[in-house]
Amino acid sequence: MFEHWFWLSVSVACVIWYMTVTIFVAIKGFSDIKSMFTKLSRQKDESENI
Amino acid sequence: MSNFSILDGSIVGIYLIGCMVAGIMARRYVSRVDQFLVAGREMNLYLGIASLAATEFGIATCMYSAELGFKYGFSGATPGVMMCLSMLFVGYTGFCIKPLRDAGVITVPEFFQTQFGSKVRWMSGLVIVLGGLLNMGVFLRVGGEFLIAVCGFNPDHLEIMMTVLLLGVAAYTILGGMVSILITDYLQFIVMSIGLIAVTILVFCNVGWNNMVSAIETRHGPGGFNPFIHDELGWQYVVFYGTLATSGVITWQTIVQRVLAAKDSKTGQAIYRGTSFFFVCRYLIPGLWGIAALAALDSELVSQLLVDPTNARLAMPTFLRDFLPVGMMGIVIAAMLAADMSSDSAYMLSWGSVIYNDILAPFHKNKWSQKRGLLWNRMIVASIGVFLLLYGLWYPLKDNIMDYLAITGSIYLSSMSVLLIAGCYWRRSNNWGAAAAICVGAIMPVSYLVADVLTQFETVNQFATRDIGLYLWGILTYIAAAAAMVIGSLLKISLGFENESEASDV
Repeated sequence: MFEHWFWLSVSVACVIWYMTVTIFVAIKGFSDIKSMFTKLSRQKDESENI
Repeated sequence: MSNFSILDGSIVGIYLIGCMVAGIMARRYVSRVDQFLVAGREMNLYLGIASLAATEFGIATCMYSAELGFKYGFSGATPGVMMCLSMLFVGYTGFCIKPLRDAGVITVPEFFQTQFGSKVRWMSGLVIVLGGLLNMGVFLRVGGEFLIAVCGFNPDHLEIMMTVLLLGVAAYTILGGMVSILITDYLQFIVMSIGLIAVTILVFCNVGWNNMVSAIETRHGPGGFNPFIHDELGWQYVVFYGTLATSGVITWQTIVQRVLAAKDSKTGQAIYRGTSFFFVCRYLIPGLWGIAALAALDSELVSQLLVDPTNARLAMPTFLRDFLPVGMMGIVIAAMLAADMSSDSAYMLSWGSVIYNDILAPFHKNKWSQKRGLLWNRMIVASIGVFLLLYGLWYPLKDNIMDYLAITGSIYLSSMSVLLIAGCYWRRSNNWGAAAAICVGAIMPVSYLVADVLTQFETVNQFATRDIGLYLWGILTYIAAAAAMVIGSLLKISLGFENESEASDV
């Protein structure tokens, strides 16, 4: 019976964790993309100047 | 009869076009080899989590996890638990990945150059590409089987459908490399997650937890909840997948490449910690779909599928075909395409980076111009795409997919993990030990694969596949690779060759 409760808890935790992470990563990941593009553009400008 | 409608087709079409456009537009940020291979090392934490999660979940993952759920119940999700624990351990301690990222290398074999010399680096590149490409070779066929089973398409169209998909993925990977992959991975992570969560909630509501539990009890008994007491699994299964998980976490190129693209080792470790529980979801969510198939499909059909290893993997798509309503079908297909595209693109780039950086190192010696280096990288990615088409669509898969992936992955995971651990923490390790570990680590799994197909030599076949079995054979592979490293290294020291330059040995 312990195993049933264990797998039920893990299954529910998976769904809740996954939903939370998806929302969080969707918002924060977008900022990461913008910051990556800014830095890559700077790298490109620097290498063109050299 | 499938519920795939025009509405579903439109959802899939819009997703595909959006993804391709975003991927191709990112190419303007790529003008150097390091930008192509590791996005100029400018990836931050949340983008890293999205990318790693999207890469490590493809249709093949979904199919084999569901197959494990269908065949072994919840015990089939054990590899996910082991992987989560390994990710947490490495994420908190920085075991191997910290020295790897701090060394500023692009690939794992490049790290071996300092301690073991250029020949070991080259050999490592070769086994990584061999194991990696054989492993990835089944992705296209499995993905095609899923789409055909769920959508109810004509099976004769599998090759054409997957060729078109691969061409699209190859186009943005060739043009934008890692930058395109990160952007598309981000989009694919969101689409994939929406699909996975929606179907799982639908399964909980419509099939029901109690029905799934009683189906496992009827078909698998207590072994369906505990791998240690399952007839076909046992301690060997847990130990083998525990070892495989730890070695994969520190050396699997597609995972490690996210650490190498991170802005520092601290961010790399945080990505590992943040993604750790995803690996439980990666096995358990599709596993629940497989268990739902066990509970919801016709009892006679379930009995037929359980005894036929080739068809067991089709249980979940067969269940989804009738279970998903119109509209939801489109979201799930888009989610699965997202999962497959992100894996294909990242795997093509990962193995391509090893071919360029390590196998071709003796030719370019890091002296080629950026333009020439980029051209070669793009040609290598294109060649891997061609290989995938030829091997992936024509190789017949007859056994459990997960076991095939585990044994082909072990061709390099066994030796590379031993080399990496020794390179980081054992100063007396040297190129004799490294070369011995690579040879032993590759010979053991390949000999299992050969024995498995030699059905006409019954004694050999039975000894390898039944008397010893895949899981014990896998454990022995890791032990033998570690022993070869220790014996080879100590032999070189005892014979007084430890100061000899690497150019003259191995």
